[in-house]
Amino acid sequence: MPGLEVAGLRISFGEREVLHGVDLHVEPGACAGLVGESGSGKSLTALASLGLLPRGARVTAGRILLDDREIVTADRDRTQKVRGSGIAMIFQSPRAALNPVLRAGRQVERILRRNGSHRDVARRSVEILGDVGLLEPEKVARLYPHELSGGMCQRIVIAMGIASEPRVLIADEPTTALDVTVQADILDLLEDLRLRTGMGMLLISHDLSVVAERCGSISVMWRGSVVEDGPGQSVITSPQHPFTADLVSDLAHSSLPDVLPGRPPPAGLPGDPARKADG
Amino acid sequence: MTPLMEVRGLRKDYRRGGDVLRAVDGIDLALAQGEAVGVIGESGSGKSTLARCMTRLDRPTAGSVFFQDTDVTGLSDRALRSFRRQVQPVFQDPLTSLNPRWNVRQLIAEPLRIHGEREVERRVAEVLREVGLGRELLTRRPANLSGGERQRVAIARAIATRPTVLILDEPTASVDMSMRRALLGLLKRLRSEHGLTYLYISHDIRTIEETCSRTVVMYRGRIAEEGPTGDLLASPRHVYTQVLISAIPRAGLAAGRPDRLKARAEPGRQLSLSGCVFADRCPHVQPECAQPPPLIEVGPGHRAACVLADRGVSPGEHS
Repeated sequence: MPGLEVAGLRISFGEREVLHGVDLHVEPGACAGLVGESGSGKSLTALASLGLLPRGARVTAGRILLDDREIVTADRDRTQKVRGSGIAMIFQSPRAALNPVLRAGRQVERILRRNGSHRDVARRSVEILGDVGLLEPEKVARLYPHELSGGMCQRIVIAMGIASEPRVLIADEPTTALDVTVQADILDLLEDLRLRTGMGMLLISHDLSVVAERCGSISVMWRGSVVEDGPGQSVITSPQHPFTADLVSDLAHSSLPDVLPGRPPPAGLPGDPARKADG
Repeated sequence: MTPLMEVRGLRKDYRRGGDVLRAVDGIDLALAQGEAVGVIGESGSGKSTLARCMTRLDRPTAGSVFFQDTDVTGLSDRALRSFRRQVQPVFQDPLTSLNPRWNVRQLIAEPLRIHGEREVERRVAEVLREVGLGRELLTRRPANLSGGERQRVAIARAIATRPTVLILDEPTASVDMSMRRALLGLLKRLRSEHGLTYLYISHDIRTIEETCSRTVVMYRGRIAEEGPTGDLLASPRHVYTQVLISAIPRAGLAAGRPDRLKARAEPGRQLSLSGCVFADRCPHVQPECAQPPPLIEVGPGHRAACVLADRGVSPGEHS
């Protein structure tokens, strides 16, 4: 199967098993969602895909494949080579993911160098900063993380994620620390990058509304197992597991308008085609 | 009816080096007895500064905070004692607001001792039960509690002195969905059992919707819009509120999400202080936005400080 495939993954800390046979699939160019609470094993699954398991954690069964190549199995760990060239990950807290004493541009340049690009990394780095929607990328490249807003920091983290041109991008709670308008901008950006590059994306969140809006398929994790998965619409409209049903009911009683404000532009307001004459 | 708590013309400036940051810029707000009012807005909009001024943890630069018709703005710490007993804050992250070296018993007992409660032990046991925590937690320290338990301890501490108002600043931001649901349930129950009044600050509009009958939208230290929560969400009139609401993720829109209304990219923060503070990002900016925006009444108790508030069809009513 092309893309990222996690098959029957079991992980233990010592004697205690924390992942009980997880199956996941991220197709190239598609966005798969993974929801669950903290401690459900979402992040552990992601970290295992990158070979970044915390100390004491061990894969006891199952395997992870990228484009049909085995990258993680119980007895081998080949993830070193895959990391960067195949799978990249962006994390929840953008400020913590950035090096505070390096200018934004340098952080992207380092990823480019590590992935074997030696020519003109500075120019390429500025290009990528532009790709992630930063206005005036030349200027931003010279700034330090503390001079940037949370949303800008997350764009730089995303720039670092895509700099290696990964086949699959894992986004672990990429917008949890951000305001709702910035969250929507960042999710739009990720969607746009996915469509432009054809990379697959695994979007991890505790917030079903985020995943449901952005992902074609959804897997729900609960206590170390995937308890439900399927096309996004069917998971939301007919949840089978009680935990999923709880998450869905949280969304259900909202009286937010179905029609999004602003589309179509309100009649008589600027943006309404009928008003163009006086604009 | 006179409100239980009222804020008039509140302004708070923070000095940073030679710069003055105006965090709250002229807010008027009233809380009626038993009401739950929500405050939403992005980070930096002044929500938390408003909370700090209303609990008198910070002294306002200008304007007044009234509690039961007493202006508490200029009161000394000693004179504030009764106010502090009655108006209690609950913060976002209990790990940073609870003393890490104290156990649960000490944490809950502290406000009781300060306010001269006679039977401290009995009251500690009582509030612990009220927030749904077991006695076995009494000897634990914050680091040895789960996120949900910690927030319950913070709430127990806040209600221990039998306050009338809780100022809740993102009380569920640091916990999971299921824990959030449980905490919201607890807060609802406490409010109805004790007739508490809430000011509920959150950037999570769904939580506000569930908790508050009235909602205030803040932007850059000012009130952009306020109204009954249902009306405001269904029919937002300030362009900023429309931008905010259209950014909320909606389940089931995958592969067909309409374009949302977006704010324009944020340029430098310089803008004319006399006009609308949203003008430099507003997708519908008008020439008259350089003037102070009028506060337009668009429905019962529903006001928006936007020149477009009463023009055209509200997007929420659009079909």
